[in-house]
Amino acid sequence: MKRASAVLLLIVALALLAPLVAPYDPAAQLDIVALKNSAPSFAHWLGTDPYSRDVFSRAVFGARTSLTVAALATLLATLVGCMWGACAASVSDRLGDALMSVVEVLRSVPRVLVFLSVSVLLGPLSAVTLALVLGATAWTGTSRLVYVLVRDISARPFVEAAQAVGASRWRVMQRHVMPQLLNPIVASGALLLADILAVEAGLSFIGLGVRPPGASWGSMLQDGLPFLQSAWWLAAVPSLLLVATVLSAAGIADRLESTSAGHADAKKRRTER
Amino acid sequence: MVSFFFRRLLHAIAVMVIAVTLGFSLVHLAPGDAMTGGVMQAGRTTEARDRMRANAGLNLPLSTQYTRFVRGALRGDLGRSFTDDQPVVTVLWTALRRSLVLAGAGLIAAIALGLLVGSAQGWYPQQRAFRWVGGALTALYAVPEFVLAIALLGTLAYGAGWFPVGGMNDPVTSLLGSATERYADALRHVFLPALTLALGWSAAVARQQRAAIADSSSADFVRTARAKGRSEFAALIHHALPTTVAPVLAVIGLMIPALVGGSVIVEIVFAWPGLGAQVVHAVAARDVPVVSGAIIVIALLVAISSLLIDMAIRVVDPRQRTVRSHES
Repeated sequence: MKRASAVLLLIVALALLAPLVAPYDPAAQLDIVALKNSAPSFAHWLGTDPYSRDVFSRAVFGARTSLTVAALATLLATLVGCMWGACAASVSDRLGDALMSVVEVLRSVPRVLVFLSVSVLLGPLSAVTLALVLGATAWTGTSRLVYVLVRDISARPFVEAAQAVGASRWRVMQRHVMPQLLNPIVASGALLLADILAVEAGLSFIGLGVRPPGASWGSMLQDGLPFLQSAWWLAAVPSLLLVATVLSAAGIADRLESTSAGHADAKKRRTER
Repeated sequence: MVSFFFRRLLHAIAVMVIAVTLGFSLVHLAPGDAMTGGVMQAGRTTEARDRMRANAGLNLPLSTQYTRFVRGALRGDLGRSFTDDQPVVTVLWTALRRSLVLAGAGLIAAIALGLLVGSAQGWYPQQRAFRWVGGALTALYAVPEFVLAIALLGTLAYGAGWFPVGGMNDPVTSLLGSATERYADALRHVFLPALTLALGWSAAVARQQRAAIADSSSADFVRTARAKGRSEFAALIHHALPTTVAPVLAVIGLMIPALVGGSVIVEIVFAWPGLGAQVVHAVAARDVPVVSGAIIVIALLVAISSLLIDMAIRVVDPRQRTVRSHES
């Protein structure tokens, strides 16, 4: 947990301080003849790419794009998922069932299809659109989690007790149900972040995501693929950053999930599924 | 069982309606129409295009066009590709067969590896070696598929030179080689992409299998089997293993939509000429009919395979037959 948080914090700090940390402009082609694919050196810590751009600067600015898009998308997905799940759990059984059936159907439409349609319709996506599309396709898991948890908690004795002494529906939700949701939702959010980071990188990698000359880890990988043999650092740098971020986010999620007390039964249900 | 089947069928139909509508709206919302895009339309006059529009029914109300599109899709007619004027179904079918070879190889390897590692881990929880392998698989699960693909490509294909760097076969061997040589060549080409898919997917199977085997290894029926003198191996194979089939099937069923996305990207890294590569090229060329057709085909594939897996779970595990789908 500590190590994972440290790695994640370091990468977030790099992204936030990108203009201060990066020695060069990430999109500047420094010297297309002399500095094409040059190996890591003191002047260029992580080498340069086929267009003579500084890989370290691109990686740092790429972190900015990748993390911003993923964070926005995660926030959106978590919000929509929570609202949908909570609504489905608090309305009548029949309506709730219908709402969750919609989620089931949406879950079984592969996300790739949505990305493909959107990129055919809109052409190159801006970072905000990308985050919107990623978020709009990622909320179903959260809504299921929230639905199950809210129904679980609402059936507990203390909720019944609160209702018996005359607490309003909203007060029960706010004071008795919502605090219990916080931990699992944060855990699932961290996992979602890891997942969305990977998906965004994949999209940029196949050319459906962030467009050149903008840098994201996925598009840096795309640039590096043809030079796997002659300039390995082009692919290695974004790969390692991506893996480090994804693993630490997933590690934090894992830890949060196992420490969130009082949800043993919900967790058991999840592993049984 | 029958009512469950109809419920699931309804679900599959709903998925297909979404996919077909998505496909239709692509064709009709994308800028331009079949008469403005495409190589085949170059050099025609505006009047000629208008006449062709009328002939193709592009002036009809949208609802009529939608029913036409659906009827065409039901008959297997998805229009023609803008880039080479081939029927979309032909284009997709060629690519789909190749994709299925790769995805099938990956899935079989993933299930085998996952069952093996998961069972070993669950049956011998104290063994450090098994725990290490399981932990490594879990770490690989978090690594995006294309990063894994690039790492394998960089080390085993470019670095060590043990495997070809991409494609489905060697052009010389496929023309001149004997049947055995061609077969070996195909195996060498499919190995790395299939391994990439298998390593990523097997972790989910292994995790489920470990939990299930650990549960049943302490269950009464396994203790009884040991007590009556069956060997450890027989207790595992005949008593513990059968109870884990349904949960593993469920995991595979949940994975299916994600598998599609993963294999698209792996195909691109390894230059595998399958559906994924085809679709990405079609997007780049704005070949709308191919993209919309691919959406329908992929959705159909996913819907059918999830349906089959859900039915299979009910067949192998009678307890599941009374459980409602989204609360299980």
